Amino acid sequence: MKNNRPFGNPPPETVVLKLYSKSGPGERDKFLERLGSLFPYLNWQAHIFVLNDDPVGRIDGALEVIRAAAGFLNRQKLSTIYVHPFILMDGFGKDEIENWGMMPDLTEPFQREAYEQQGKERLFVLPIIEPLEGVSSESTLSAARFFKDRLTKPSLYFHGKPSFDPIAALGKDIRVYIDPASSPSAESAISQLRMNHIFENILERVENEAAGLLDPCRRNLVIDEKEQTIFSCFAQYQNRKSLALLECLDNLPEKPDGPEESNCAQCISRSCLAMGENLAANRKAEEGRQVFFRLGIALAREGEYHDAALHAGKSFELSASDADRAAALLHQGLCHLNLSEFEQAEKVFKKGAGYSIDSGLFSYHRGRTEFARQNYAEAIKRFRESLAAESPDVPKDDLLFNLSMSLINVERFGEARAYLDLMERPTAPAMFYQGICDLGEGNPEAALKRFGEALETGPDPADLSRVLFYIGTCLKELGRYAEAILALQKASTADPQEYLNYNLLGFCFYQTKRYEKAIESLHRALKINPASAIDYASIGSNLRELGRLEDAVAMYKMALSLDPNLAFARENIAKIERALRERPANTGRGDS
Amino acid sequence: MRVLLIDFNPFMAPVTPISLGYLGAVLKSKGHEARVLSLGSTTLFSPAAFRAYIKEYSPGLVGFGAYQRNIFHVNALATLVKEAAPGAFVVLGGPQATFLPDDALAALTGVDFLCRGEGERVILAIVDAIGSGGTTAPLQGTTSRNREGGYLTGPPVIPAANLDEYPSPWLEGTLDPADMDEAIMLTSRGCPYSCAFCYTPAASGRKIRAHSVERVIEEIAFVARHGSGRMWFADPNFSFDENRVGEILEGIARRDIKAQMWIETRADMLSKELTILMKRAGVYLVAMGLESASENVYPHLNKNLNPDRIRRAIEMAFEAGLDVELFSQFALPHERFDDAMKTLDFVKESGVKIRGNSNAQQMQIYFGSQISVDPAGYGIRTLRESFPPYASIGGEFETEWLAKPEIEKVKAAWKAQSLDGGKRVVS
Repeated sequence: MKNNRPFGNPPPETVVLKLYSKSGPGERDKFLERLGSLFPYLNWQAHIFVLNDDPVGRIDGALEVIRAAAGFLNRQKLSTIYVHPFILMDGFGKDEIENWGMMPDLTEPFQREAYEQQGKERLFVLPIIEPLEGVSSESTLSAARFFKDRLTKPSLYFHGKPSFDPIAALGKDIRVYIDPASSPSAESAISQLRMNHIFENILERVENEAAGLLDPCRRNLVIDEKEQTIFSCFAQYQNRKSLALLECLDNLPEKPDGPEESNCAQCISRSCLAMGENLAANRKAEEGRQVFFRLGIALAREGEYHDAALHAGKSFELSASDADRAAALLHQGLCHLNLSEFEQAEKVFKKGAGYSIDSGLFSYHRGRTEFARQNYAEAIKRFRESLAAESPDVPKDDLLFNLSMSLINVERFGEARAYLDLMERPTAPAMFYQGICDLGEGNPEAALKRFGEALETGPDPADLSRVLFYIGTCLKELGRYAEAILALQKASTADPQEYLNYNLLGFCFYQTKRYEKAIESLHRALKINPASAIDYASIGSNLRELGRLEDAVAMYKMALSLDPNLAFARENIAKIERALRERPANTGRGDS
Repeated sequence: MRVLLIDFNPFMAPVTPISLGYLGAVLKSKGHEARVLSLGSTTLFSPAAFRAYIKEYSPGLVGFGAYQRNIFHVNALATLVKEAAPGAFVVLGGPQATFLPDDALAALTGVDFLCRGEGERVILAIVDAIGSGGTTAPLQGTTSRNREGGYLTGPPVIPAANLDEYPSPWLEGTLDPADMDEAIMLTSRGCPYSCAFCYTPAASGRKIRAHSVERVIEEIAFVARHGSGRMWFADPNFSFDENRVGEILEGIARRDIKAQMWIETRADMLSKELTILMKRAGVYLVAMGLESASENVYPHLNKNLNPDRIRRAIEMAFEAGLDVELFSQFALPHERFDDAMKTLDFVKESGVKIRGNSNAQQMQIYFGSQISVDPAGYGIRTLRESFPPYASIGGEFETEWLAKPEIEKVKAAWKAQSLDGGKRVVS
C-alpha cells in the first residue's frame, strides 16, 4: 500500500532523554509522569535512548524509564518500545552483574507474554555499553556477552577506534558506535545518535528505492530534563532551538508551539558525511557507498553541488569495484564543473577515466570542462576523442553540438557546420549556429535562411532577440537596410536591454539617411553602454549629415576622449573644421 | 451506518485488504458508509492518533480481519476503539474468527462479535441488528456474548452461490489500485481438496465458487489501467477450471491489458498449453504447493499429488518462460529428518530459487484444519500445556518423528540454502 499515513502526520519514532543527574526524587517523579503522558503519542513502535548529562555510570534513571515504559505497555497492549540506555562502564564485575541485570529482568513479563501469544516482545532493553578509558577489551566483551546471554542485543560505544573488532568477536547483530571525541559527554553521544539515526533512515530509503531522499527523516524528539525542554529533532537540539517546555506534556493533545522549520537537506547531508569510522566498524561500507552516491545525486538536483561533490568523493572512497569508482568520480567531476571549479573537475574526470571502461564519457565531460574555461583547442581534442569512442552514454547530438561550439569559438566555421549537419535531431540552437557558421564564412544569404528556420521554432524572448539581431545583421550585410531595421526593431522589443540591437539600428538608419532615427537609436545604445566611443562617433556622423557641424565635432571629441584610437573621428573633426574655416562669413550660423 | 474495516499486520508492510474490500463494497451497495484501512509494520501511527481517528469518524461498527499472528494486536486495537467510541460494536472476521472457540470472546475483551464464515452476508446482518437495537438475539453467522456471560451463536450463513452477487471492491471504488504497488485479486474462493494442514476445505465446504469470466476481465482491466499493473491472485487454485482460466487469459491478451500477474495453483492443474497462454497474458510467476517431496510424508497429507507431477509442472512453467515458487513445509506428520532433507534436495534440484515464498516454513497448525481437530492423531505433541483461547497451536509443537531440536536443524538447513536468509513471514 502506498498511502502509509492514514492518520495524518507521522508521530515521533525516536526519543532521546537527556537525564539530569542532580534531579531530586520529586522532580524525577514529575518528569516520569510527563514522559508517561507522551508515550501514547509516540509511534506504536518507538525507540527511547536514555543518557545522563553527567557521564557517571549510573543506571537508576534508565531503570526508572524502563519501568515507566513497562507500566504504559501493561495498560496499552498495542505498542512496542525499545529502550536503549547508555551504560558507562569502568569495569565488569559482581556489582555490574547485579545492577545491570535489573534491566533485562524488567522485560521478563513481556517475554512471557510473547511466548504465550506466539508473537514478539513489546518491551526491549538494548543497552549501549560505553567503556571508559582503561577498560580492557576482555571486560568490554564480557559486558556485551552478559546482555547477549539475557536475550538482548547490546551496542558498543567507543571513543576512537577500538583495539579489537567487536563484530568479529560478538557477531553481526552488535551495533558499534565510534565517537571521535576522546571522552564521554551527552552532547557527543547525541551527535552520534543523530548521524546514525539519519544514516539508517536514508539507507532505508535507498534500499526501498523511495523518492524524496532529502525529505525530513523519521520524527524524533530530544528531551532535556535539566532544561525542562523538548526539541523537535536532533538538529534543533544541537541548534538550541527548543520546541516547547516540558510542561506542555501536561496538556496533550494540545500541539506544543515552537520552532519547527529546519534545513533538512543540509542536516541529512552533513550528518551522513560525519559517519566516519562508524561504517567500517559496522561492516556497512557498501551501504555507505550507496547512501553517499544517491545522496550526492539528490543534492546535485537541488543545486547543492558542494555537498554533492563531497558525497561523491565519499562514495568513491568506499567503492569496491572500478565501475562504482568511475560512477562516483563522474558525478564528483560534474559537481565541480557546475561549481566552475574547472581544475578540480578536470583532475577528477581524468582520474575517473582510469577506472571506466567508457573512456568516451569522460572525454566528453573533460571537453565540457575545457570549453567552460574557454580552452577551445583542448575542448575540440576531447570532444573528438569522445566521438571516436562512440560512448553509448554520451548523447551524440549533444556531443556534436558542443564540438561545433568549440570550433565556432576558434572561427573554424566550415568544420563546425559539418558537425552541426550530422546532428540527428537538430535543435533550434543548432539551426541558429549553422547560420553563425554561414555568416562567419561570408555567406549572409545562406545564414539568413538558417536564422529564419530557427525563428520558426518559436524561441523564447531572450533567444528571439538574438535570432532577430542576426537576421538584421544578414540583411545589413546584403544591403537590405529597410528590412534589417524591421528585424532589429522587433529584436529590441523582444529584449529592450540588448545594446547590440540599438547599435546596429543606428547604422542601418544612417545608411537609409534617417539620421534623426539613427541618433535616437544610438542614444538608446549609449544608455545601456555609456562608455561606447563608437556610438558617440556615429552620432557625430549623423549630426554632420544633418549639417549640425559644431554638434558633430563635440560628439567626435567625446568619442575620442573615450577611445583616442578612433582615427575616423579625428579625421572627420579635421574635415569639418576645415570646412567651417572655408565657409563664407554670411553663411554662418543663424543665416538660413 | 458508518463502518470501519481494518486489516492490521504488525509483522509485514500493509497489503491490499481484498476481503475487507468486498465487505466494504457490499455495505456501500446497501447504502452504508464504509472505510477500509490497511495497516502494517511500516505504518506510522500512535495509539493516540488511532483513538482520535475513531472518535472523529465515530463508526457504529468496526471490523477487523483476524488471524493467528495478529489477533493479539487486533484485540489491542479493538480496546482502543471501545475507549474512543464506547457505543461502537466490534466484529472479528477472517479464518481465525471463523473457527475460534466461543470462549475466545472472554479473552477478547474489545470484541463483540465473531464472524463465522463468509463475511459479506454476516456483516449486513450485524449492521441491521445494530441499527434496530436487536443485538441480544443470536445472529446468523455470528457468535456474541449474552447478558448472563454465556455466548449466542446463530445458524451458519449460506454464502452466495454466484460470487458475482457481491459487488466488486475495485469497480465500485472501495479499493483504489492507485494506492497500491501491487493489487491483490480474488477471482474464486474455496478448494475441493482436503489437505490435512489447511483450513480452506473446512471454510469453503470443499466447494469452489468463482466470479464470471467477464467480471474477472473487467476487474483486471480496471486495476491495470488505474494501478501499477502488478497483481497477486489470492485464489487457492487459480486454474481449477482450465476452460474458464483459458477464457480469462485469452481475454487479457485480446484486450492487450498490461498486467504482471502472480498466481497460485496446483501442479496437476497446469498444462503445457495453459503455461504458454499464461505467459502470453502477463503471468510472470506460478506458485505451487509441494509441501513434502518424501513418499513417507505426502501420502498422509491428503493432497493427492506426488513430486513427479510437480516436477513436470515446474519444467512446463520454466519452458514457457514463467518463474516458479514452491510452498513447502517441515515438521509434517510422519516426517523424519531425512524426509525433510529430501524436500530441500527436491527444491534445490528443481531449479526453483530458494527465496521468498520458496523458503520452507514449519507447518503451522491453525483452527479449522484437520490436524488442529485431532493433533494427537497426527502425532503432534504441543510444547505447552495451554494456549490462550484465541490462539491455536501454530508452530508450538514437535512431532512423534521430529523433536524440537531437529525441527530447528531443518530450519537452519533451509536457511543455509536460502538466497535471502529465509525471509518468509508466516501469515
